[in-house]
Amino acid sequence: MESFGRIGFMLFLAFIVPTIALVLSRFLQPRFVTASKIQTYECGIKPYGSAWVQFNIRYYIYALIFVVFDIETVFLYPWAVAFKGLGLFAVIEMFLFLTILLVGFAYAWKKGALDWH
Amino acid sequence: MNYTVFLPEILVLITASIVLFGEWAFKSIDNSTEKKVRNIGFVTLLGMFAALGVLLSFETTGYGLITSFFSPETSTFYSSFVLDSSAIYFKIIILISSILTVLISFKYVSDKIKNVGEFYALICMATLGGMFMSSANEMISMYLGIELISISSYILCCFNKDHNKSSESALKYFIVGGLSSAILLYGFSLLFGLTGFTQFPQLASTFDKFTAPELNAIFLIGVIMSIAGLGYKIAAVPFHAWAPDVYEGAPTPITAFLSITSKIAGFAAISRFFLIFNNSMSEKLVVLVAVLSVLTMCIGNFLSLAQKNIKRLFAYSSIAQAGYLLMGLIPLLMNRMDDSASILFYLTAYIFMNIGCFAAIIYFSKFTGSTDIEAFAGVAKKSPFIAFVFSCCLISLAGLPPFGGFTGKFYLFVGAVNSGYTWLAFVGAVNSVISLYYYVKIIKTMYFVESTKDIKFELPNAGILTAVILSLAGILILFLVPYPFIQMAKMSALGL
Amino acid sequence: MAANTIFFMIFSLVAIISGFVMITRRHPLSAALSLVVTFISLAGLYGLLAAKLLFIIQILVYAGAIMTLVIFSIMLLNVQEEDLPAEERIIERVSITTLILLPMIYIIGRSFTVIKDGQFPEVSQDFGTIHSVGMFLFTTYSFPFEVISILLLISLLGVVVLAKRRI
Repeated sequence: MESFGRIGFMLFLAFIVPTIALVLSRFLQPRFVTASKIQTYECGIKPYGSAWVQFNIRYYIYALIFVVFDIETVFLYPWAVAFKGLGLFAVIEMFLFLTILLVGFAYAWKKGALDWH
Repeated sequence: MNYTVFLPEILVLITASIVLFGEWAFKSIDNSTEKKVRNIGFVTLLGMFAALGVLLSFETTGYGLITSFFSPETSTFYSSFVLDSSAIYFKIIILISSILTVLISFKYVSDKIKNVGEFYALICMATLGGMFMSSANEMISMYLGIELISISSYILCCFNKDHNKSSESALKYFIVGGLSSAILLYGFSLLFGLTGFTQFPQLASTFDKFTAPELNAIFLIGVIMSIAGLGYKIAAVPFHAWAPDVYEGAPTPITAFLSITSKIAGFAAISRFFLIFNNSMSEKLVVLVAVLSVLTMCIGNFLSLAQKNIKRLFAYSSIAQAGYLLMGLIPLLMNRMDDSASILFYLTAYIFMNIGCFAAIIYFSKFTGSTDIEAFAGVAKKSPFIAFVFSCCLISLAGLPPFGGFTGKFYLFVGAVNSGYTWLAFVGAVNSVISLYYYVKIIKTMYFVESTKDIKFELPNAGILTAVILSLAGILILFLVPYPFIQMAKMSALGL
Repeated sequence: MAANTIFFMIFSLVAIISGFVMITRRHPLSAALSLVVTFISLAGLYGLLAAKLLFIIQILVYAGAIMTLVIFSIMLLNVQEEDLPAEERIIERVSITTLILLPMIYIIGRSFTVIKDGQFPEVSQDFGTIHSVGMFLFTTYSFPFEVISILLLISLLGVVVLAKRRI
């Protein structure tokens, strides 16, 4: 429970800093509202079309593959923390785990799922 | 720790990995799809046969089949994985059914499926999931086994690329499957929360210590939710709604796979799960299982009567078969292991009769171009042998002699009667009579309805022919000399 | 009231309210965003239980990766307001579901009143910490751990087979 106090403090900071920044700027800023100022900001060019654009499906494959490897990484974390007490057996286990996933990775690579055409 | 217990699983996994790269590995040999499918399928069969061989060579309690090369410990990996005689039996029949599924799939795959390597790799993975389910002695392992077979099946269902129904079936299967996985997990987590154990033996020893009735009630809720999650795998009645659409839309070899391998794996998991209950809980569960069995039989059979599409009909027929099989769980819950062997025996017969039917469906529907029952009119003249085996398998499914289905059902009913559920056996017998109607309707269409179209039939390929001959031999042998097989099933059930 | 209880109430209230918002929003994107809030408040609940690894996974995987994926697929499908189907008979459906679930919820809720102190053994001090989860994962649950890698392999395979064929 104690270590979550720090996370709570971080959360508090994360909440308070932008709040202060926004509130302060509200009081300090000069306000001249013009039509172009209240437009949606789109990298400086004039915004056009709807914000609802269809994503390219290629991103989707990347996102899915990313999730798979994200989950793999999550398992590496407790392994690294508990590594000292576990010894060789855990090394072999993690090696097996990664090997099986590597088969999948090699497959995805060979299949061209990581290419962008 | 003895790692030879994993040898069959490792072999299947390695086969899956090799087959996955099959597209590239077999490219240089020949470029035609048919050859490629044959090569990849052959490697798959080889791997599965190797795993089967290793399983048969395990020394177990009293099989005496083959002299043993390995004598593995029965329980390894902190007892999350057991290899007792029942697990071996279940794994053997799971592997046999997968082998037969691969055999009937060759022609279909080379006609309709693009990613051949992935197709067979996923069949291997699903088989692996089934094998893990029959060995799982712990809730997390069991859940992962179920997910392994389920996720592979979801993907396999939409392999038929230019077929909207295929994608629809996969999506439906996925959504229903996800929901029941969630229910199963919630049930398991209630059991874990109450006892603090995930291992089945420890669970069994703790749960009768609750004094408050509310805690018992929660335990019961957990058990019922787990049964609901497992019941979806075998398509028992309140959880059966996915079956017809999925069976219809999936590629036909996968339909066969779902109706056989998936069901066997489901029963393996359920029977292992049921073993944890002591008498006070099993009394309640016997009633629940009896009710489920009646519902499953009756609804499955009655809805079969109206079906026009043969794959849908087989979906309902397999629901009804699950109802008969649920009957076999009653002696198991009452700790009458001798009688609970009937479930193993019936599953063995069920493989052969179902695979014969699906081989015929794949073969006929290739030429008729449709899976409607009407399209099967007059096929008996074109291909008398396959039609004959199909009819034999249908009669066996209805439970009539002289086929293995009769023997299997007989033992199931005897088990129910011996456990004091005579009325259930009676309901089962009545249902068998009802089922005869729609099974015979198919036979009538094949033999006595004149075909309107003139379709030319090619000879069946080696895979389908082998599967058909094996299934005919299987159902005949199980009727004529059932004794050694029943003995084997009893030995295995005693190991449960 | 202990600080724990207050935090528990805050987190569970936020989780329930945002869950409710999620199922009542018409547009999938608003639903997805309220799901993020549910996930984060669930992470808070895990934190209260001192389940540190679960806390991290909840934020990293669920609120991070999986939610990105959900929003991705909503953007991919490019759902417009007018594409959404009309939802019929919501009240009937919700009330029937509630009726079915009520007895179960009642029993589960009631059972907490009969649990006495000391009836269940207390978990050890380091239960749920990353270290103890690691110790469990690589000894008692080493077999399921290996199965997970096969499961991930299958999902990778499925991704490539299913998503690739449309390109």
